[in-house]
Order: sequence, then structure tokens, then C-alpha cells
Amino acid sequence: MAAQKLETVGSFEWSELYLARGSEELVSTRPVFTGDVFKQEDRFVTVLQHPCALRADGVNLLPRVLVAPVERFGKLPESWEGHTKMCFFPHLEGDKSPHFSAMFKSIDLVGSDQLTVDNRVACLSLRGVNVLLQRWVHHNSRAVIDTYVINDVVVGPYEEADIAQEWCERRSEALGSNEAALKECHSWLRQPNTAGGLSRQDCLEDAQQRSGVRRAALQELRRLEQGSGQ
Amino acid sequence: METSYDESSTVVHRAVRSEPSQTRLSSDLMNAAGDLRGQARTLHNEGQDLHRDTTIQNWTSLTSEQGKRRTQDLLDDLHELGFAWRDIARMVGVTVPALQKWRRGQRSSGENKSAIAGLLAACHLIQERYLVKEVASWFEMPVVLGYPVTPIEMYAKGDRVLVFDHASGHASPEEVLDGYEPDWRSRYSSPYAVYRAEDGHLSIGIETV
Repeated sequence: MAAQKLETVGSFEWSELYLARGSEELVSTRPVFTGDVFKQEDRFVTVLQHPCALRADGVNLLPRVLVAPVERFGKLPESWEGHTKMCFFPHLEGDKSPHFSAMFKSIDLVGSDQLTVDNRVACLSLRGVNVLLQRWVHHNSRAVIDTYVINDVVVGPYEEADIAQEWCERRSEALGSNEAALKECHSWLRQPNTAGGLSRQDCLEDAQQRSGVRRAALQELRRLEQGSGQ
Repeated sequence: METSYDESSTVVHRAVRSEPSQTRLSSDLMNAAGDLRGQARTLHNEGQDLHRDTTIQNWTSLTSEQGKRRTQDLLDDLHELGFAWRDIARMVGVTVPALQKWRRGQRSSGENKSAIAGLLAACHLIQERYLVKEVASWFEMPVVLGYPVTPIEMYAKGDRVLVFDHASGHASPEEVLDGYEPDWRSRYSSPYAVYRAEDGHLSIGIETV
């Protein structure tokens, strides 16, 4: 059997790992997601669990969440091969900032009340989440699962986070809080996409149906805004 | 019996003049058929180049038209089509936060605006010329089922000609991927596959034949 390799920089640009870094890019309405990096008093940590394992009710984080400490890493190796007990986060806080690395050997549980959007310093892109999970799964199981396979079990929840972010941007003020807007969004996502059919949440897992759910979300937001006189 | 090949009409004629051997007849026919194939290939390649050139010209012209509009309006139209912001960002070659800034009214560079206009123009071309109704969904679907390469990826890498070839149906999905990534069959032959587990969630397991 041909040896499978962990994906390494070269098959992607390091900047592709991030959705947003630093206060200018981060959006406070985005729900906490796998790979988000948070600043604690004296350290950074990153969320390790698959998005489906972070919440029981779809809205609130579980009381305790599995994280890995994110530590300074001097010079990044040209190839990431061999560095299997970590996941690199180049220029974590901005283009000229230092490099960091999530250390899988020193995992920890933290209270979810410490993972707030105010102390979030980076969100990973879908590609970044896939790379992190590939390394994390390999560290725990020695199985190398291709990132395009991992993508299929991450893309649905990632789409939910995208929709929730926009929903909360537009509905938090009318509903009084980000949490209320997130609940409203989640409730809408749990409903069937068509009468008697799959839920919108399930449809987000299907590449063919995804764009239809996004369009429906925009229509629903416009309807709600008109209803509340915005 | 002798075979002659009429180039002007591209029709093979056979005339009885003598009684040459069956081998001679077979050889002449083979030569004529070979010539015909060569001509057909040349014609096919010329037609393909001409079609691709005119498609790109049409797309460039549509891009110029879209370029007259505001960046915010172009982005809104793309979002209304059902694209995720991350996919728009990827195809335009910028970051999601950059798109968010432009949506809030900050100015984009001419180059970036042109790239956004180009994407919207490509969508309109594919919708109107090739009758693709749900264009965002079409962009997200794998070119060949079971392999992860999508028109989004090909467009983001700059292979617009292949995207239009795929939309037009003038190349088979396999030919499109051969043109994009010749080793696609082996590159994406993972032993793992995704299935829906008993708890209703998607899971990863070993692919079974």
C-alpha cells in the first residue's frame, strides 16, 4: 500500500489556513468553531474537537472544551513532514507577527466561558480546519485521512457557522443579543428545507443543495427584517 | 480494385480498375481512413481553439460591462446567486475580510474589482449561454462524481477555459479533469470514504468495494 502523507505547506499557501486574524479581520458574531485560537491570561489555546462535538443543543458550547496550547515556534520548517505532534500556525496574529504551533502533547480542558469572542485571535479557514483535524486524528490514531475526505464531514457545520455569522450580524440588534439571534438561526436551520424533506442543516452537507439554503437564508433574513420594521 | 481519396469532399471513393490483391485494398483504405482522421483531428482542434477564443472574448466583453458597476453591487449579486463568501474570495483571489470591507463601502483596487466583475460575468455567461439554472450549485458540484475537484477550484487556479468547456459540455467531465490535473484518478484514490452513521451524522470509514 502506498504511504499516505500528511498535507504540508507547498500543497497550499500558509495564508490559506486562516479565515481571519487579528481584531481588524475577526467578526464577533461568528460562533466558536474548531481551530479557533483564543488568548488566555498567559497563553494561546486552540479548539480541537470536531464542530459536532462542541455543542449539545447546537447553540451553547459544552461546559468544558478540549484544547491544545498554542506556543511560539521560531523558524518554520520548509516541510512540515515529520512534525506530527503539532499543527503550525504561521504569522498567527498578522502578516509580520511570530509563528506559533498547536502542541498535541499538552492538551487541556478549559471552561467554555473562557472561549469568548473578545479573546479570540484567529479563526481558521475550512482548509485550515481540515489540515488541523488531519494532524490531530493522525496524532491520536496514526491514520492519515486525506483532507478532502475530512472536508466532507466538516463542510456542513462550517456552512452553518457562515450562515450564523451573517444571521447574527443582521438580527442581534433587533433581538437584543447575539445569543438570541443564534437561537433563531439554529431553529430555522433545523426546519425542513422543503415540506417533509431533509432539514436545512442536513442540506448544507450536500454540495448540490448548499447554495439553495444560502439563498433561502437571505430571503428569510429580508422577511424578518421587513417584519421587524428594519 | 483501387481506392482514391477525394480531399475536397472528404469522401472515400472506390473504383474498379483492376484486380489488385486484398492486401493492397486494405492498405489503401487504411491510409485514406488515417488521412481522414488526421483532417478530422485538425478540424476538431481548430474548432476547439476558435470556440475557446470566442468564449473568452465574450467573457471579457461581459466583464467590461460588469466593471462599470459598483463593487458592492457586484458582490451582492454574487451572494444572491447563492455563493459562500469564502468561495467568492477564493475565486477572486482575495480574503474574506477584504470582501467584507468592500461590502461596507471601502474602495477596492481596479484589479480586484475587475476580478469580481469577471466572476459575475462568468456566471451570467454560463447561465445564459449554457442554460445552467443554479449556477452557484453548479460551481460547487464535483466535475466527476466521487472526486473533489470542482469548477470553483479550477476557476480559482485560473483555468477558466476548462470551466467554460465543462459548462458547454464540449468536453466530457473526464476530459476536463485530464486537462486540469492529469493524475486525478490516482491522486484522489483515498481508502477512506464518508457515510451516514447510525446516529444520523456523517462519518469516515474504510471504503469497501
